Amino acid sequence: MNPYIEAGYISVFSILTIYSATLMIRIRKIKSQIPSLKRKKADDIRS
Amino acid sequence: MSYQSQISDMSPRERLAQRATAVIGLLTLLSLGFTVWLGLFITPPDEFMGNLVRLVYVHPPIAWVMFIAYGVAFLSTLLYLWPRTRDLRFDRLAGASSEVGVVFTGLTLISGSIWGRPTWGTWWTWDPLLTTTALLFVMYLGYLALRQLPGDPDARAKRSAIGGLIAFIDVPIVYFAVLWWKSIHQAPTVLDPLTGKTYIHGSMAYTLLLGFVAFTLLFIYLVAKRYRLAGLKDRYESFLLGEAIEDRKREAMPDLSGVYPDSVGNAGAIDVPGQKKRFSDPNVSVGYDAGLRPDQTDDYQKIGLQNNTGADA
Repeated sequence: MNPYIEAGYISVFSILTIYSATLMIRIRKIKSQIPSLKRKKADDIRS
Repeated sequence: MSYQSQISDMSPRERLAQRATAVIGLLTLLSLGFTVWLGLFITPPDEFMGNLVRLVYVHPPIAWVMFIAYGVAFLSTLLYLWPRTRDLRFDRLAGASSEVGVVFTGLTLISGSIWGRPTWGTWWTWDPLLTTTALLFVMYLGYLALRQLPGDPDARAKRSAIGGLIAFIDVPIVYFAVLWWKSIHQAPTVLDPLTGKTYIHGSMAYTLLLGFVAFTLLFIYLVAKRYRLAGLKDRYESFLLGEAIEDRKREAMPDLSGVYPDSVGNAGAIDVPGQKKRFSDPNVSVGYDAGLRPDQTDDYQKIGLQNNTGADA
């Protein structure tokens, strides 16, 4: 296959994959922080 | 609404949005897969461009999404600025759509450059369309940087909205650049905006159309995810802010632990100033902030407060 076509498709889909994965990771990270905050808040209320 | 319920409870509407996003994600994967398969293996080579035409199934759809992204951001910005529809959710949507737009502008420049090398003989030239697109990329990068500046959410949103409106000025210039100036870039061939004619047919047209659908679905999916991330971040920040305020309030009050145990056994603990719920005894007047009974003369003197409950100390 033409190297320019390969380069075009690979670069486009690589960047899109990296961007989507970054979004997922950031969402997961912030979601994982929220439960620990909830626990801390509940502990504060109890104490 | 308490901080806890803000961050823990997902409404049925949010759950529905989550499911819809998952379905869109699945459709995006399928349609993109089909586009790549048709574009690389099924459609015929072009009479003039040969196999290079296969980039047409990616480059124009990406550029199309770039325009959609900035269009959505522009409309959201207007809705935020309009007093009757002012809502921080529109600001969030404008930010999400702009960020996705910047990604797609970068992809437009990259895929266009890769296509330009074998067809024009150069990776880059200061052509009106290319230059204005690069300028668009830089302007929206500036807009995203502006959004990161600290400040009150409303002030930040207004500041960003003005930046977004200024950046949007370049969008119609990019779109009409090939018609207004002499450009190395070809004029619109998929759909001529002036005549409405299309210059692509058969399986190539269907594949290209599928490419437009696939990348539009991808845009919706990415914006939904980015919007969700912005929402979670806002909640997280407001939670941290609430915690910090409560900590400051606690620091500002004297420690009265153990001064007076109330009827349910809590030692005269302090909540926040102004809250009058320290004693469960209905006969006690609670017009004071220190958490003491009117008859606790010694305790008042101990902490240096005046008895303002009306009772004799």
